[in-house]
Amino acid sequence: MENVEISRVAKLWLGEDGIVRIIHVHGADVTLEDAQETMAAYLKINKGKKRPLFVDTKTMRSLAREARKYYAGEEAAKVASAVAIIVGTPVSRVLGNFYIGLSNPLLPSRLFSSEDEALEWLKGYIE
Amino acid sequence: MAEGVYRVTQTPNNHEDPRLAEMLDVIFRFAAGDLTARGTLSEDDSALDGVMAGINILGEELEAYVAESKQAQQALTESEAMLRGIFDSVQDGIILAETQTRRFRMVNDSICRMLGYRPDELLNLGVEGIHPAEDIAYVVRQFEQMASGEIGVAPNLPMKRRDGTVFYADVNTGPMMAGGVACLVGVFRDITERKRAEDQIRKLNQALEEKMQQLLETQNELVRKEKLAVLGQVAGSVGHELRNPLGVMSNAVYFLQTMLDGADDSIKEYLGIIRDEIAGSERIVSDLLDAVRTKPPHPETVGVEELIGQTLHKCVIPSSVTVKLDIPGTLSPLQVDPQQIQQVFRNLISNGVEAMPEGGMLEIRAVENESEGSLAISVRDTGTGIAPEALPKLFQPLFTTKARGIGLGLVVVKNLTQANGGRVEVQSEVGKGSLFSITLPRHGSAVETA
Repeated sequence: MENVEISRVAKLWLGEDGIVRIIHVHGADVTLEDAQETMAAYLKINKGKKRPLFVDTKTMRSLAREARKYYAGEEAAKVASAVAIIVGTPVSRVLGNFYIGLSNPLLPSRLFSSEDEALEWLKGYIE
Repeated sequence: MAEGVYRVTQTPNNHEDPRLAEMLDVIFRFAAGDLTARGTLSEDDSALDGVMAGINILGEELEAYVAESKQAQQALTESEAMLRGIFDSVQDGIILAETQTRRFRMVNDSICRMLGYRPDELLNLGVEGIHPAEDIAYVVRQFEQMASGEIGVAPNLPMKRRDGTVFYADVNTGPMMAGGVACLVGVFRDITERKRAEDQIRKLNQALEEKMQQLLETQNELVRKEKLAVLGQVAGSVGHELRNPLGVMSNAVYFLQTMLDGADDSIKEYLGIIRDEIAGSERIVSDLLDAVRTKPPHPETVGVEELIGQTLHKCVIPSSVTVKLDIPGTLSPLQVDPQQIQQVFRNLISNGVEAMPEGGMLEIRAVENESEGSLAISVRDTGTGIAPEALPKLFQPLFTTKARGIGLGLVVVKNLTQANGGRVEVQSEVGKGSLFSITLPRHGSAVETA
């Protein structure tokens, strides 16, 4: 498959709709290094454009504080246009809520339990 | 949360749900100050996993918050130590005083050294405690003006040390808020050394001015003596050569007046003119010789009234000039050469009369100075006065302000006065007149000439 990248904790690809999907592996414990690796992988497939991110965290087990701050900071805001966080399990809900509530992300960010609603919302951020 | 504040006395024991027990254990360890405690997730996607994930994140946040707080506290402590170091190392004294109460809130080491107090002692004193009691009202006024921003500097403020000694300081101030209270920061600079240096400079300047004045006077005297030396050479030959023909001319006129007793009035008038002009020429020659060759005085005891009376008798005073005498009869007699001093006053009276061509008042006054053992006799006229720039040259030979003068009269005055142990002083104002004062030794005084 074209435009696919794999980091230690996630698989990323650019959909035909212009939205980048990031699906975490089962039981992922995301550290700062993982977040940076994932961001580097994203930059390989975004074709130089700021793109909306569809991030599935249902399988994520933890997100380190430094990783949270990294995703919420300027570096991510420079290369992506918005992020829809897909939650489902109690753990992913807690991680998602803490991310938005504590880290004050610069990117437009929102939690979704419905993938369709998430994709619909992200369409508004395709440049 | 400070470490050790909360103490876990027993490990939670929940056999029914070990995950709940682990959760409580993590929370208790947080409470005990161990913010590194973390719980494990079971991967069963249960609500308890979510809560544990939340607790773990809370732990991370608290740990980061405490670490950042510690860093900030350390930075604050270092900053405070640095500022305190600067505060205490400056040579100027610094005091932070409350504007309202004038009590001290902070003092630095320098102000403690300046005033001789320990910091804790100084902090109990306040503004009123560090200034002399008699200056408190003034200091408080200055403080209030500084507090209101009317002035920023209070120069030369008296400061009282612990031992009661006083020194002076310039105080620079600025307002600031300390803990919500309006305060005034005062920077005190001890100006003792500066004042001492200024005093020294002032004294040196004064000495320099005195030396300059002496130099000027010496220079004037030198010029005077040089002129007198030249005059001496001229007077020695010309004066002597002129006196003989003038004497012959005078005798001839006397002879003609005697022989032409019956001549008409115009011949008598012209002979009178010739006689007067010969007399004038003889006076010039006499002045010239007197100016350059002052004879040693022959002091006698003589009364001032008598001396002035005889002098006036020999002077021609026009009717337009009123002479006023103020010579108390109780004055001590003078010890001077009467002929020479009469010459002095003749010249002064003659000058005074000539300065009042339209008439005026000539006042001669004598005063005794008991402590100096002298008498000051002044001749004041209400004439034209002397320009200030002419005053320093007044006693120089050949300097004159008169159209017909040759500039020897006052030279004679000075020479004869000095020869008799006296001194001459002059005051004058253009348009108001002049006052010449001759101070001479009285009979029996230490300064009288032998």
